[in-house]
Amino acid sequence: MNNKENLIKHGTKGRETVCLLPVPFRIFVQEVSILPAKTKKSGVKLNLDGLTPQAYQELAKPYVPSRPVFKNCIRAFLSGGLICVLGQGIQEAFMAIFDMSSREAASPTVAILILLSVILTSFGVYDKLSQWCGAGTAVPVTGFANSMCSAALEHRAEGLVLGVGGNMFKLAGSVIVFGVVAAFIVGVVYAVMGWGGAH
Amino acid sequence: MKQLGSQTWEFTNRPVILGTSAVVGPEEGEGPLASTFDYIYDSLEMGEKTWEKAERALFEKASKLALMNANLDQDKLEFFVGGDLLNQIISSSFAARKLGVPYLGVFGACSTSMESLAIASMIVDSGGGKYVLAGTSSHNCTVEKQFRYPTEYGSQKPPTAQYTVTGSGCAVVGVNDGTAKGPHVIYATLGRIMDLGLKDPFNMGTAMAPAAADTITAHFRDTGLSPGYYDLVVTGDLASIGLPIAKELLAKEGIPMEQTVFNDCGLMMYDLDKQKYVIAGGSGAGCSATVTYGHIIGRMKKGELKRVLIVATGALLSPLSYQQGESIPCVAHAVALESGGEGA
Repeated sequence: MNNKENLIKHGTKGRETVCLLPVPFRIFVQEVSILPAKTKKSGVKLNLDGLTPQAYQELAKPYVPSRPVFKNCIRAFLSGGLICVLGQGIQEAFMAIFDMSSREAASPTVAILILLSVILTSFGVYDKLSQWCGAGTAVPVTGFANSMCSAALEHRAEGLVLGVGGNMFKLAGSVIVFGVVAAFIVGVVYAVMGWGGAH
Repeated sequence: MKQLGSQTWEFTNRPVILGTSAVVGPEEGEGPLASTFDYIYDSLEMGEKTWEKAERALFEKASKLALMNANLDQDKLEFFVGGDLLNQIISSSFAARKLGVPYLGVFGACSTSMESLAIASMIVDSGGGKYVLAGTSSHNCTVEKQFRYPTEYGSQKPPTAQYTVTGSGCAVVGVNDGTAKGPHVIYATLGRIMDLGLKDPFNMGTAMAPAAADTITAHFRDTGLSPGYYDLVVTGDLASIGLPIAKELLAKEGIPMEQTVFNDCGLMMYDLDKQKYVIAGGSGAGCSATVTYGHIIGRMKKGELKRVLIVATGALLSPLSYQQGESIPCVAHAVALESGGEGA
């Protein structure tokens, strides 16, 4: 069979789609490959009928502002850094006041940061801060606490078991799942390489 | 009633919008249209225990006020056509319990406002009923909860994101018996689904712009009118990104939109410079409903506007569909209103 004969082109303003299918399938392909369906009845063909997704996305591109990545990075660095400085301050305070080692002070420090995050979430402040801070408030432990607290608050209306219990890890669940998977892989690598044992 | 072209109904008996209501939440009450709304709640909870109950309260308030503004006894109301954005359209169905009339639940996402008005007008125009209530609602927090993240979850929204309007708008459509006062419903153009492959639920304006352009083009093609016929053409919730795209698409179709004022309810609802949290503008079924039934009908009654075309746009996605990587099908329904002589 001569494939060249079977080639059909249906023009869509600047773009050409080449169809390599045998004759009986051509019409079918032609009809479904153009979105949306042609205007029936009226017989008037709109330019919109021939607009392909690619052509439209090209047309829309200049109007769609992109995320300000650099600005977001700076803000995340400042705000995330500030949260870490605060954590460091709390840890130093525990060490100085309660005579703890840095390891002993780590757990109560995290607990205080989580508590602060939950309080700010409950007062409806955390989500407003995070529009400015972005990853700065999402990545530290405060972001994890916010994801659990917000889901628990939101689904309290559906009861304690199905609502709070069932939805609390709606967002945080994937962090735990992939955290465990990543830890397993790292553990396997350590075991295979014989690096383990340093407790 | 007759069909014009392939997508448009002409309401030859000219049903009358007897009364409308627009009830909104606190953020909309801080916007430039505050004085045109019938009732502004000062908290998002509206004295209820859950967000869903709050939206229902909003809807019930709006339906009650619409009947009051229309000067119509609830006993005289014959049908209710309503819908909202929640799963199984619970806000409107649950609000319908209080009305006690036959009920049609409709869903067209944010285009539900004009979809319900078109169906209500069709019922009245075809003699299927004398008094029909059309209404819709949306609530920022119920929509965030269902479509995005928990309301208090801290996620950074991109510059294309829109803010769901907390509001409900209802209209009582009545038969034109010569004495009824109010704007007339003259045309409705029902839109077809447009899907140009956009998948980002935080960029609905771009996804919906082709649907708006398609329905507007179909309206002028079917009726043989030109944009200059209308004093105002508004889209539902294309906001600051979708509206210029729709303008470009319409220019490509050769529709001279510069003959009229072409705006968007999502841009009219908020002061984008002061209310930064709305980002690109308003969205939601309540957006076009409250702007139309509050602001636009108000201006028509004052005689500032004679003919208006409202094109409500809807993005028909679900949380499941976009998580499964599907693109967003969009639709737009247009309804044309004309003020009904003096005092109307």
